[in-house]
Amino acid sequence: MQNKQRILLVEDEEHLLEAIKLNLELEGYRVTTATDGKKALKVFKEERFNLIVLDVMIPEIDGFQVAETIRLQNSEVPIMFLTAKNSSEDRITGLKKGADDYLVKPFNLEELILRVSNLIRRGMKGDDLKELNSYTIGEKTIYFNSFELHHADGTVTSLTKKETMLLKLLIERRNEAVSREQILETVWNYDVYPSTRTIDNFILTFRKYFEPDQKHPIYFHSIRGVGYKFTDNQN
Amino acid sequence: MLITFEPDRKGMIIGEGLIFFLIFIVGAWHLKKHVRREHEINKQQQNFLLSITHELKSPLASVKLYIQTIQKRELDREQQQIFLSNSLKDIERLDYLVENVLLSTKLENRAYQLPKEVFDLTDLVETIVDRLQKNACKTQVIKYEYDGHFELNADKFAITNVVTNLIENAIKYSPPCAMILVKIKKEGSRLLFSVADHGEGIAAEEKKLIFNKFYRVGNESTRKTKGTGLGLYIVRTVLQKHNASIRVYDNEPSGSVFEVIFEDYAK
Repeated sequence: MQNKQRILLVEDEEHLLEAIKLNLELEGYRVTTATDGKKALKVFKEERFNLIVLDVMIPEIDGFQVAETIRLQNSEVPIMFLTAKNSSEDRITGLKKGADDYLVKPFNLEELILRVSNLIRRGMKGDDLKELNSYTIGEKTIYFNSFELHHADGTVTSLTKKETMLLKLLIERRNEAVSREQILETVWNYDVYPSTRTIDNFILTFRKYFEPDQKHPIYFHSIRGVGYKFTDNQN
Repeated sequence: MLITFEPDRKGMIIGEGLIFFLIFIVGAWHLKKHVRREHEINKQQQNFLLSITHELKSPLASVKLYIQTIQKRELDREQQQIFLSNSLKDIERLDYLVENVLLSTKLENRAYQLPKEVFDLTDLVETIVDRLQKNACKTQVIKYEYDGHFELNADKFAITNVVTNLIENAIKYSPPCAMILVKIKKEGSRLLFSVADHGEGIAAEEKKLIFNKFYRVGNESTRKTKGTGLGLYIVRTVLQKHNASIRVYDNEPSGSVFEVIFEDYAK
């Protein structure tokens, strides 16, 4: 899975470019390089990437402007600045331009690898979520775009928007505990603060829909003090 | 109003008013000039800070990454050798940068006297050309012409810096593998050392500014070439302390020629 991930590395220092590229390739990524801002934007238009590692002081168009231009076309691809500029003003500018991370030179190899891996994992989850149109639990299938639950006997139950969003979130993070904060941020977008009971009621409804035995759930679990977890080892 | 009350002193009042107005205009003009100059100096220092940050941290980052890569990975011997030799080049780059910063600080101290010795300038230039030739391009790019061996009584370290700065600049601003002509010739009592490149050349208005401290052409964030804006400042200052001068003119069909003139060099 990991070797399919593509990284665009933009760096004008030849030695640094060579060493970073080699390390990322040894970690299993496919790396495309560009040595100035103009080339970086050209390559970005032609190919699809899971992460962009971007130096700031580069010829032709500086890294901040490159990030800004990329963000106009694509708001999802993670961008990490890799730069000698380390003042808090520079960091703020970088983050304002839409970067997801900021690493200052000289950096540690381990730190670079970990940050790259985190950003790519986070980006992948967004992609999975977007591509998730349907999901089958037992003999029932959820269609996220039409907000419908199709039962084995052919009957259809309508799902509310919030139910669909919460199902999508839990399924996307299957086998992981999802905290109440993450649910609030994703499903309720912090607009309304539902009580614990509200989320519990959603979970109870899900159990009604999917669990063969509601008293002994195998799919939807509450984890005391943490949040909720959807378990599915079939998919 | 004053003129209405004192009509006899009209001339004096108008005269004093004019003088006051003139003083005010001259003062405002000086103030504006001063503010603009301060602004220029600030901008150049800001540029210097940006470029020195980049110039110091980039080679440091490469060396650190090369060493950590060798520690972490099972690399073959050939790959290790490449990484080590690249690290050495980065360390040389850092060393050169530190030397430039130290030399420019020393040169600013008026009391500082350059230690002079007699050495062969032709041989010194040849050594530098050989060293830079290896780094510049695999094909022959630096052509060296001289019409004899000339001894100079000067600070060898500082003159080495002048020659290196000029040839490195020529390499930096030339297209890959373009020819650079380095020449030493005698003209009467003067000794001329010149470096000619076929790069983009220097705009007329920039020619007088390039020897200023921290001055660099263009925007620091999107610069194609590396540097700190100290090189040519050091060149000019060292030469001034050696009764020598430097001028820059356009090369044909493109590029620039930097010509150093050692007056009465044999003294």
